[in-house]
Amino acid sequence: MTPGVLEATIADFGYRRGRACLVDVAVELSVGRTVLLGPNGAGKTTLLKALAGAVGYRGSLSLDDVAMSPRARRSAAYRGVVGWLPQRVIPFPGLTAFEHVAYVGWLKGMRIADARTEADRALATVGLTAERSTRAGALSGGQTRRLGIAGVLVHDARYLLLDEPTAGLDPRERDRLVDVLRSIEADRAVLVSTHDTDTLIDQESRVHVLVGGRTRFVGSHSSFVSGVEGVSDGVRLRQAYATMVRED
Amino acid sequence: MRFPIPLRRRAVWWMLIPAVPLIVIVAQLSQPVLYLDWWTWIFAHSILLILVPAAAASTGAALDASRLRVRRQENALTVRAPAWILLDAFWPNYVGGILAQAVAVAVVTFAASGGRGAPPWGLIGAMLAILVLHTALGLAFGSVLRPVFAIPAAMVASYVWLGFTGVVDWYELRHLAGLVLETCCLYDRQPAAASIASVSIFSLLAGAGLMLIASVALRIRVVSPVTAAAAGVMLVSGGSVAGLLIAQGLGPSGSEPRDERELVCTEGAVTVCLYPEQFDPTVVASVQTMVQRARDAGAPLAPRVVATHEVGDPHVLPFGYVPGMTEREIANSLASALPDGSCASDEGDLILARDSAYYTTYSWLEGTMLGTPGVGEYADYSESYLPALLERSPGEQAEWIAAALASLGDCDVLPPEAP
Repeated sequence: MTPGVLEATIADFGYRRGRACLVDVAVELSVGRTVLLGPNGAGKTTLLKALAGAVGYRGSLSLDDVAMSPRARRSAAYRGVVGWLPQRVIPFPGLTAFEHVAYVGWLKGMRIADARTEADRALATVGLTAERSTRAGALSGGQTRRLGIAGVLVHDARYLLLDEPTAGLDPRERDRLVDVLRSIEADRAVLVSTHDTDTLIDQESRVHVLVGGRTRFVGSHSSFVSGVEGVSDGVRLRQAYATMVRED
Repeated sequence: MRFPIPLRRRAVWWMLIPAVPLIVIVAQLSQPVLYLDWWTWIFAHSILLILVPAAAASTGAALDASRLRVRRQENALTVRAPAWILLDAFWPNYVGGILAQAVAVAVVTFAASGGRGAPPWGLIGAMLAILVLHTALGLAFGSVLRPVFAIPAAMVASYVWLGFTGVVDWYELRHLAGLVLETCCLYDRQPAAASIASVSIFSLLAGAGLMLIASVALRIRVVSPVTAAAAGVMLVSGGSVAGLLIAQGLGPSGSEPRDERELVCTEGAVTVCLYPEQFDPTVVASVQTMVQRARDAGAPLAPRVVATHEVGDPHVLPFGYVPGMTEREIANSLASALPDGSCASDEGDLILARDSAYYTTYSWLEGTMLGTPGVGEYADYSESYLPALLERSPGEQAEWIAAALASLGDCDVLPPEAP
């Protein structure tokens, strides 16, 4: 089942009263990749948490044109189709990669037998079949990120919220993760927060730039780099981003 | 059958490896004065050993809760009903605790050479409730604290709650913890219903409250955290108040007299009344013969023998009987029912005279009952007049014994002179 549209407008959100982290941020997620850019402290992680339902906010939220409450504990239907990969993926202690993913599937409401079947499929998708019986806690950093993605794929989440999935990975692991993303975003909406403009943004990506908790830019890749000169796409992306953020 | 987390990954099974030998060791260190082949007594005594199963369940639950705690951010997004998630973390540890307690019951059963009578459902319910509380306690600790703190805290809190409350002078608190039920039972005493109700109601309510608190800490609650936490605290405090109120006025032991309607009486010149698990026609016949011998020899013993340790009824001869007793032990038990003759007002030679009356009567009764005068427990005591008494005629012996018995039961009556 391909996703429809997840629309959220965050009028304001703050962890403390009077200190808003996000103000007037509107997000629209549909099939394909949306890359969330912004400097440290811009509110990228908070935005992903708000969309995931880990925190509630003031504003509006709708899923496939059905309005929902934006409070912290979302409806089961919402929780069932949204998958969130936090910055730090923590495997369940003592479980193998397979057991971890199957347990995540069970927590997401799947029957045990289905969760086990889908866990194998999800591990295959992220290239961790060989590590099926390895203790999840013993996986490398890159493998752990892929394990986290398997955790959001196991219950067939249609909207994936990935928080800096390539941070701290070596180039080979980074490429592998991008390959995984390419394979899953054809029929899913993926919102990826990152500082990594070189790897995660391609011609089909949408770009959302967040600065100081406010939206600075939302649009396609081409409109993001339009008017920026450079020898390569990567250079143009970096320059476009640097220009946008430097203006602060 | 498949489980969300394979059973072999549950810590509680590993906890059982040290728990089982520990139960055997604790059982050896806490051997009772006597063993009764009665299920009620067996279950009651095994409650003392629940220290180990409760700690195992609590520690295992803390580890399982820790597993969920590390991903509590993501827990807010789970679809599975919170009750199921908690139950999944709860049940293996609870079952592990029950298995360990079953080992404890088996150890005591083995030492008591089996059990008789109906299963004590009240005691069994109290045991299960205690294990609910301790498993929930471990879940709460594992949800709130890091494993490095949660594991020792769960183990220590479980042990301290059971062990510490057993020595406080606030008796209601002892009943709340439940270990006091260990002292509930003798052949004529049974667990006090109020004591069972106190520990059961408190444990179940407080256990539910702790589970709610754990759900808040793990962020898998349905209602708002404030509502869930408030409900959890109210259940714990409400359960405590309810348990304390029920236990009010119970005293240091969780026992009450057993229903005498359970007694099985064998009528005859000497009527013998025993509880079903004690009943043995051979024993009844022996008791009848022994008491009849003593009565024929002139001892003014009541012709009604009842399994009780309550003294004072002149129409009843109390009999403390434990299945497996030898003839001599039975005679000893019957003789021991006579008053010990300790009088606060006695001084000097009068104390010695009353002691001599006691030792002499005791050993005379025992020997007479067995049909072999002179073999009584105190026959060789220097204070005993038994050798001299046995040289007198039967009539004189009977007269002296009657006088001695009268002096042992009434401090205003002087003991008889040496025969």
